[in-house]
Order: sequence, then structure tokens, then C-alpha cells
Amino acid sequence: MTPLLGRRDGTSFDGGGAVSYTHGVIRTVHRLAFALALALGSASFGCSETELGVVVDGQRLPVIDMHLHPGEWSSIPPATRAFLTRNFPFPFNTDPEGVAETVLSPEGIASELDNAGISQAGLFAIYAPRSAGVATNELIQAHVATKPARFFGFASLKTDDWATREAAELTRLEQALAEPGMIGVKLAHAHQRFRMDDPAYYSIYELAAQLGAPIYLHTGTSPAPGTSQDPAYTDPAYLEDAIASHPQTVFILGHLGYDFINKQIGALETCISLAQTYENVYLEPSALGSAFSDPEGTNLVMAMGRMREAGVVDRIIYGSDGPQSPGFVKGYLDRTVAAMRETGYTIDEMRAVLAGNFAKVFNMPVPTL
Amino acid sequence: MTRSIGLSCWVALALGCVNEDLRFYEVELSGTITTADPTLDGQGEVHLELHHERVGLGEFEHPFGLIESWTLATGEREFTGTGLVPTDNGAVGLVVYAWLDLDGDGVLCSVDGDRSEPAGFVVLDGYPAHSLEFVLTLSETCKGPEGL
Amino acid sequence: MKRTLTGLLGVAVWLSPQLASASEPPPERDHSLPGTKRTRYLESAPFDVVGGGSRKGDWAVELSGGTPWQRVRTQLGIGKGLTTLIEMDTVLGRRFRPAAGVGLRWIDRPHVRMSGELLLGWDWQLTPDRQRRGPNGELRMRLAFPVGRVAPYLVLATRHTLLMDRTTLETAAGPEVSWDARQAWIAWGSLGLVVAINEHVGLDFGIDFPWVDPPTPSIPGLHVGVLFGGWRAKR
Repeated sequence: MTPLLGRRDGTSFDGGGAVSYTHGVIRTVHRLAFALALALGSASFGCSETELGVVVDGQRLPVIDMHLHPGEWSSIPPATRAFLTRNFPFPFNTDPEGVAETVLSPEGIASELDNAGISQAGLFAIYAPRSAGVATNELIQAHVATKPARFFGFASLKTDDWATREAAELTRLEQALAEPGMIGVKLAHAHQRFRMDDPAYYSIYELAAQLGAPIYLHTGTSPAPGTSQDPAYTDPAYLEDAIASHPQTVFILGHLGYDFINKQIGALETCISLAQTYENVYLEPSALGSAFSDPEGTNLVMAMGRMREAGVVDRIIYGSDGPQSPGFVKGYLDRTVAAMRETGYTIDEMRAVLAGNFAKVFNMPVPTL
Repeated sequence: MTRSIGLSCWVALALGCVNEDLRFYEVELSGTITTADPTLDGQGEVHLELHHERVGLGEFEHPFGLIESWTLATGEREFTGTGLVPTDNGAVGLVVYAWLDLDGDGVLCSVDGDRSEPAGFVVLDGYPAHSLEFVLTLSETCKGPEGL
Repeated sequence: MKRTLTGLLGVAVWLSPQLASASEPPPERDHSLPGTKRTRYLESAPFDVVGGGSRKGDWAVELSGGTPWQRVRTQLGIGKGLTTLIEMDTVLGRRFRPAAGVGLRWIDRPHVRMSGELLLGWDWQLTPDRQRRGPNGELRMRLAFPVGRVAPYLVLATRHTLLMDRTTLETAAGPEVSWDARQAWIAWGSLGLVVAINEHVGLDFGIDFPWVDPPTPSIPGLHVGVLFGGWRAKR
């Protein structure tokens, strides 16, 4: 009846042909599937052409996300790769490199921006071989060059072996900041492991002031392996001496001193106090309001509300700390806008937070929509 | 129980069942900590850390990598302890770093505390060896290991 | 979650003899008989795969692909309700688990079939950033409701891998080696539908629900499969 598969005369059957496919084919299919997930996960309802800006009360506000991390999986140290892999959902954690390549590429980041309606973004270099990894100034410059109208670059430098390498590193930093699109400096004392109050590193702030390059600094703890959680590396209170002694340097305190280990507000009040006291201090509320870091959804609301209460809205510069995963950039923008709504921000205040304050600090035009 | 697990895993090892394969080198440390300022003798707790001298390869290479830490009793300046040094991470050399906690808050030169706490480090000559001695003088104020 | 699932499977194992005894499996079927419209495919190869168990001499093969798993599975009935199983599944070509085992049909009513399977195998993943290797055991339950050409089905499984770690300490007296064991647990389930094209060939459409390496989240997947098989002639 079905001669191909079985015979009723009792003779045996060897079975059909085996299905075989190479690892490469499977991996390609997997990456296509992930790219599709990236698109679908980031797509807004309606899936229409990219329209920039975020709509609040009928008004479309331009958005600049000053804090994004491109990179290469191979430039993340093994312990951190293992840590990240454990946090990737299954089955993507079986191919973390493939996932990362898609998300961290200039195309992947641009796709995230498109889906979030974000006009422009800052891309961060970092030299943190013990913890977060390395994204060189050259990599950032190359990424910025792919989309110079949308990407800005923040340069960084190696702080290890500072006693012998200080002059060379400062020269490299200056050269990096001379490249097109490189507008600021990124430092992360906790990841790079140097004290916030060590005067040996103040030459960085002096150079930044000379070049008119604002400095973004990671404040607060971090769950990345190899990070120092010591207060002198994480608590922005230890920056006060540097801030006070360098009035021409702009310090942008990233993450508002958030305690990412215990998922608590951390040094928010210190950040606010510094902003109230010193005109060269700005505040950036990235990452602390993500679903991972703020599962109850209360900390970002509290932080945005406190900053408005304290009268430092003109110091808030929006950033997300993306791309992290498909849809994160849009999701973080949505959560921030929701937090501002909930805490009574006016349209003009939201406009300032989302793009205006960045434009003022970096002496750039607000994006047109 | 241990023997039977060991036997079965020799078999399994032949089939490749080792997952984490950790290797350590045991070092018995003994040393004396002094302060450049003799008036600090007998004061405060010494926080002592054993570090790799350098860790990592290529773009990941960096100085210092914390292995283990100890806290001596208040006023104590003689140290003995055992460190288990990981040997499968491309690290070289050993360094002892220490600082004196004069105000007892557990933080070197905390922003609200004593801002005169001294620190210092010494490279342990002779590593690899299972027994190492050192003398460490705390002479730099408010310096983390990277600042020395 | 793990305890609940294992407990449920344990209860099923304990209950099944009582349920099965209420309806003894029918004698070995003569496949030359056409059966009724509603029962014609009850002993078909596709339904044997999803409901589990094959009669003596019956064999069946599953080839399925999707995300996250791709799977090859064969089964052969050896009599007394037992079925031998050999299978291999892979997660995107990066994690592999070959296994062999036995299945036992617990409930064998015309439109309800439930079986249990016990498999032993080896689990390995040798990717640069995450590696694992070790013996693996799986307890699985299959439940299918064949009616006519279709059979909705449910699969629940709990899978345990033993991972051995070695620590070598170089002391002044020489090296000391110690071993530690830990366990990696996976649970998974599938909800699907099999359509029997004929008694030898069918198609399988299913949604897979993995619970892998908790608390890491797992993304549900789906699969499409071809099921085929045959049998010995009536003796």
C-alpha cells in the first residue's frame, strides 16, 4: 500500500534518508531568526516608516540618546562574557557571539534608534580590560563614520599603569577627540579601577576642559565581573574635589550613582546635591530604570521625581545604556517618558531632558523632526 | 564516597566529562607590615590583599588582579596566611597590597573619614614558591593599588 | 517548578498501572484490517510517535526542526508494552544530546494514549563561552488524543545532567585533586497536533516550551516534523 515505507510481506525496511544540515546552515538560520526578532521586537505598533521623535500630549519631541555601547564580543573579557551569556535567554545563550554581533553592530544600533524614534546617539569607547571590556577609540570613530548625522563618539583612555603611561594616554585621547564626530570623554572608575579622588588622574579633566569635551562618568556599582564596588570607585561624593577644582570641565554623572547590585537608589541624593552646588555637573538617568535593574518599576520614577523636585531638570541629559537587547532602547525611552509624565514634567521640561540639555552642553542644534 | 566518585570520574574523564577545571598554586605567606610614620604603630587594622602582578593576555592585560584578602586585628603587624593562586588565567607574579584603616570604617580614606590612611605594596620575589616572606611599608596616603 | 514537574511525573508513574489495568491494551493489531473511520489511524506510525509506544515489531521515526530544537528520534516496539528509543536532539547545532531508553504505554484507550519514557544519554555543549558535558537522564510523559486523522498531544519532560568539576591544588607536598558534582536541570513541554497522512506518514506541528538553566529566561519555540514508520506483517 505504501511501498516506500513498509511492506506487508514481512520484508524489512531500511528507513528513509536521514535529514542532515551543517552547523553553518543552522547558525545562519539562527542569526536570520535573531535579526527578525530584532526587527519585530523593536517594531512599534503600526510598523510604518520610521518617524523620529516621541509623541507627548500631541506634540512630537526630538530625542538624543547619549549613552550607547557598540563593541565586539571578542573584546569582552572571558569572565564578563560568561556572565552575559548566563543572562541571555535560551536559546540565544547558545550563540552569544552571534547575538552580540547583531545587537552591537552599527546597523543593529541604528535599527534600535529607528524603532525608538531617536534622532541621534552617543557611542562610548571604553578601556576596561578587567570588567566591561574594550571598545577602542578607533572602533567608535569607524562606527561614527558610518552614520555621521546620527552617531557621536565619546573617547576614552587606558588608566592602567598610569605612572608610566599618563603622557602617552593623554596624547592619544587628544588625538581621538580631534577626529570628526568625537565630542566627549567616557570614564568608568569602577570598571577601570581607579579612585575618583586620586589627583593623579586630574590631568584627564584638565585636558577635557582645554578641548571643551564634557566627561561622562559611570557612577554607582555594577554587576559586571571585575568591577570595583568600593565607595571610592563608585560613590560620586568622591568626585566632589575633582568637580570643585575643575570648574571648566563638564562632569556628567551617569546612572545617578545607582546601586545596581542591590537594585536601589544608591547615591541619587549625592548626585542631586552636586548638581545643585556646581554649575559644571549634569545628570544622566540611564539603565537604572530597566526591567532588570528596577523590576518593581519604582526607582526611575522616584529618581525623575526627585530631580524635578530639586530643581535640576535643566541638568538632566537622557541616555539609555543600550543596546543590551532588541527593543531595549525603545523600552527605556518609553519608561523614562512615563516616569516624567507620572512626576509632572511639563512638555518643555521633557523636551529639555530628551534633547535640549544635550544640545546645550555639547553646543549642537536640537534635531529637527 | 569520594573514592567512588573519583573512580567513576576517571572513567568519565576519559570520555571528557570535566566541566570546570580549576588549578591553584598554594602559597604560604608570612610578612611584616610597617608604616612610614612611626606614630601609627599599633593603631588601626591592616587590610591586606594578595594580587597577581599582571593578568590577562593581549588587550585584556592589566596590572593587579585580586586573589584573596585578609584583615589583621587592630594593632597587629605580623601576618601569616595561605593564598590559593589561580594558575589558569595567564597571570604572572604576586603582589601584596595593604592599607591601614585608622578610623575603622572599612574604606580607605572614606569621604567622611580619616583622609590620612597610608597604603603600600610589595612585589613578592621568588614566586612561584610555596613559601614566601615579605616586608611591606605603608607610605602612600589614600592610594589604591592602581595608584601605586 | 522542578519539584512540581518531577512530582507530577512521579504521580503519573504511580497512577498509570491502575489506570492502565482498567483497560488492558488490545492484542497485537492486524494492520491488514482497515479498522473504522475513527480508529483506522490509531496504530499508525505518526500516532505511535506522539502518543508513545509501539506494538511489537512496529517502528517509527521522527524528524523535526524548528527552534530551539532539532530532533531525530526512532522507536521500535519489543513487546509487553515496551518500546526502545534512540534519539538525538540539538539546539541550533551548539548543544547536543544523544540518548537511548525505553518507553511504556500506560494508558491505551481508543482516543487517549499516555506513555512514559526513560532515557539515558550524554549532554554536551562546547561553545567558547559556555561549555558543559556530562551524563544525562530524562523522564518524559506523552499524552495524545487521536481522533480520525488528527491527534492533539502534550509532552512533558524533565532532564537532568550531571556535571563534574575538578580542582587541582599544587601544594608543597604535591598536587591534590578533588571533584565536585553539580546538576543542570532542563524541563520542557510541547503542545501540538499530528496529522496522519496515512498509516505510515504524518506531519507534526508543535509549540515548545523550554525551561532551561533557570533563572535564565527561555524563549518558547516551535517545530515542524515528519513522522513515518512501518510494521512487521501479521504473524
